[in-house]
Amino acid sequence: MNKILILILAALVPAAGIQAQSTGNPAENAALESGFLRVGDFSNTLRNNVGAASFLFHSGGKLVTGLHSSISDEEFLGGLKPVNSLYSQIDYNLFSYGWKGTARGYHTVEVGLRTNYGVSVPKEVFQILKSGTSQSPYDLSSFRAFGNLFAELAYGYALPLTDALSLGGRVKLLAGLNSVDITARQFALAASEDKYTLDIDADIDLTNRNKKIGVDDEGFLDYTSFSGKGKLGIPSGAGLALDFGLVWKAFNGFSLSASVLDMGGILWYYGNAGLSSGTYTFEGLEDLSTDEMEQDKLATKIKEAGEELLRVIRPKSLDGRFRLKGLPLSAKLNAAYALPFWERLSVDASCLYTGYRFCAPYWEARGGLSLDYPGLCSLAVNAGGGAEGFVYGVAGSVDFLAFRLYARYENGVGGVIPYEDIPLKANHKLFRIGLVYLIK
Amino acid sequence: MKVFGHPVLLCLLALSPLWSCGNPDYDVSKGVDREVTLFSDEVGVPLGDIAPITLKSLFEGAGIGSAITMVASEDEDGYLVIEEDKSFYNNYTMLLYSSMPDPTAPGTFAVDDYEGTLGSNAALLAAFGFAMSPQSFCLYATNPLTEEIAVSGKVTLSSMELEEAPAETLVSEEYSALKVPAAAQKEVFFSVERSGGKTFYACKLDNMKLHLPADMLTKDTDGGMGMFELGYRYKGFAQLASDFPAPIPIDVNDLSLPLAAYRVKEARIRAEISSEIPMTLEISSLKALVKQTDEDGNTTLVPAEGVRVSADISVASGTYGNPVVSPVELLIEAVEGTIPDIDGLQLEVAIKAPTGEGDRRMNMNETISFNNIRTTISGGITLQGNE
Repeated sequence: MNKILILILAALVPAAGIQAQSTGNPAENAALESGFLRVGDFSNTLRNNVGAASFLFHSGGKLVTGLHSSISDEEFLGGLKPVNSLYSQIDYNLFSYGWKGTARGYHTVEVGLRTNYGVSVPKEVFQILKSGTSQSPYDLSSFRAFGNLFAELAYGYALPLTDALSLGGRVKLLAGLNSVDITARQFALAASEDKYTLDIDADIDLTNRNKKIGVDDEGFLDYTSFSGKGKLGIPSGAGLALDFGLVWKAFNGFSLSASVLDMGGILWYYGNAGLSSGTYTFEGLEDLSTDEMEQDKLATKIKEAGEELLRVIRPKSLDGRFRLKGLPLSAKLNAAYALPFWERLSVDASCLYTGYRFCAPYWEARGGLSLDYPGLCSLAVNAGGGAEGFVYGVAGSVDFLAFRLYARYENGVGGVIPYEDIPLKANHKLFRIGLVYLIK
Repeated sequence: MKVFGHPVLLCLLALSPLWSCGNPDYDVSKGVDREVTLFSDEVGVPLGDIAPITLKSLFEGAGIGSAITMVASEDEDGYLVIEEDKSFYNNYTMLLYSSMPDPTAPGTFAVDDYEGTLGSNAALLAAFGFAMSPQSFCLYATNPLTEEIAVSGKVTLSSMELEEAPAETLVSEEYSALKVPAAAQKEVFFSVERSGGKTFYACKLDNMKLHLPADMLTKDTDGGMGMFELGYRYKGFAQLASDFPAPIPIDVNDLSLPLAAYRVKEARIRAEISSEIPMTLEISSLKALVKQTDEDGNTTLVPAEGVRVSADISVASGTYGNPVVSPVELLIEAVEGTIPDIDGLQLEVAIKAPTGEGDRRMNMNETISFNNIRTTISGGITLQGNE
């Protein structure tokens, strides 16, 4: 008996809550009969389409990198994706309040923070390092790095149209706090023994809520000096996003939940805007005289060539500009069927699609089981596959007095680097925990 | 308590987080070998161009600039020449006047025969295959009188006497009463020019006579102190007529290329050499040298074993203003393993006579350029990272 209790607790500690008082599909709140006050919800999502095992290999009884001579080109490069991406998102719901309206609808207001960052590196970068330049030319324009921090103020409304169909929507006012975005429209490298040509046309946008990056005499952004405050102060951006959803209980025991989340974006004001643009061609050190063949003079020539390259790569300062940046758009579909012989147990199937502007979309499909004891606890388990391979998840909630503690844990397989927690394989990982006060 | 009725399911749920536990096979805290080999297929790198190097700076760079100027000189147009300007007869009007049997009538004065050398240094160059071509010889005279004079005589120009080739008469010409205008200063009255053939080495001037007017003293604006002068000039342009007798060995002892640390297997260097120099240059032998320390601690450079250096370097001859481009290639490859540190090079340069038509004169302003120098490294470059 004690063992069973321990197992339950072990399952719940890292687990995630079932979506009562949903921050997902707004239509799901239509089924709530009483109000709630969410006093905290923390969610951390990490997605990577390649793992550390694509860069670390075993050879001769030791760990080596993919660039080690004992690792073949195919072995290393074959494990990489055309665009190798890492995406992380943290959602922190500070406060949510939900109440049943005088009519049939259900209202929610939510205040939260979200930060996300991502980086994408094209496979060609590793191809050049590993194999050399024999496959030239290279398109490196999928290189991307960004990070955002913004606050959300949301109002949601869910309406049961009929006993079977509910609709819901949520409008989110977004206040941008900080954002950085490095995007390349053109980033091409042609390399041969005759010449290297780098063709770049890239934007770097950085909000200047606090300070403005200096500009040197030649008009380049000077990251070593900062001055003044940004023009807009706080916030640095403003935006709007909408969530829509429906819940359809087609027949007894079966429900279908569909939602589209985060349709919208933020109009950021990037006070520190820069443009790296131009073509750099290196055909070797030109017109070397015999006097210049000494090491220090050669170093000077090389330095001059490097400075020419920097003149193309370094971003030229531009006037501050507004840029509309969309949020990663998600579409979710979930079907649940309560087994007629034991209605507390449901069979679930779900799928998720998230589109990013900078890398391949994330998608997954899962199947699972849910066990629900209203007023006591709930437990769910699922597994499936998707863009990052096999995924599984456990979720649960425990009601205690008027509080509901919920948690969700999703992960893939493949393990992590010990003590580093870096996934070894392509992975989707999510950890969420929250606490709700149920207003009776 | 029905919730506890599914212990198997709960066990699975409880164990599921373990699937993401650390994999001890990837414990980076035990160290990661950070040796990396970059560009394992191949990588090409443009190295650049070496600006035109003049023949003059090439000679100076090779340390033979002063030796060249001791043998030959550079004329006002930059050509490498051997010149001789010899004044072999000088006399005052008054003295000539007094030596004439009847100074009131036109008369003839016999000048002593003269033998002299011309391009003596040309013989030194000839030992290396250089010939003087074209070459010119002329006689000149200075006439202090207000009336023209004339000169007669015979010129014989001969080659140098060598063991295998006795002196050969190259020019033998008589000239008669060639006029020298009034008040002429080193006026050329006789000249010979030759292209090709042997180098003029010696001159012999026989039967020279000055045909002088009557009453010279009255025609000398210096009142008899005017000076008659006879002389000759020789100018020969140096050009390579035949191949150097033997390749020139060149040792480069201070190279210090630290290649061993990068474990390079093969490096190929290519370039286009544009040459105006009218001689063909070929690398006939090329060896990489490495340091070897004997038991006493003495270090010497010895040919590297396990490294093959092959050069396809033949720089075709050009002419001044008309460079000829030659593609060249140098391959350094490890016979086994990787290329060691290379501390020097031992090469032999064969210098051959120019091919093709055109002006073959050596000009110190002629240039050689190394263009589009690029390298291709195959098999990767290994770097040792710090753990």
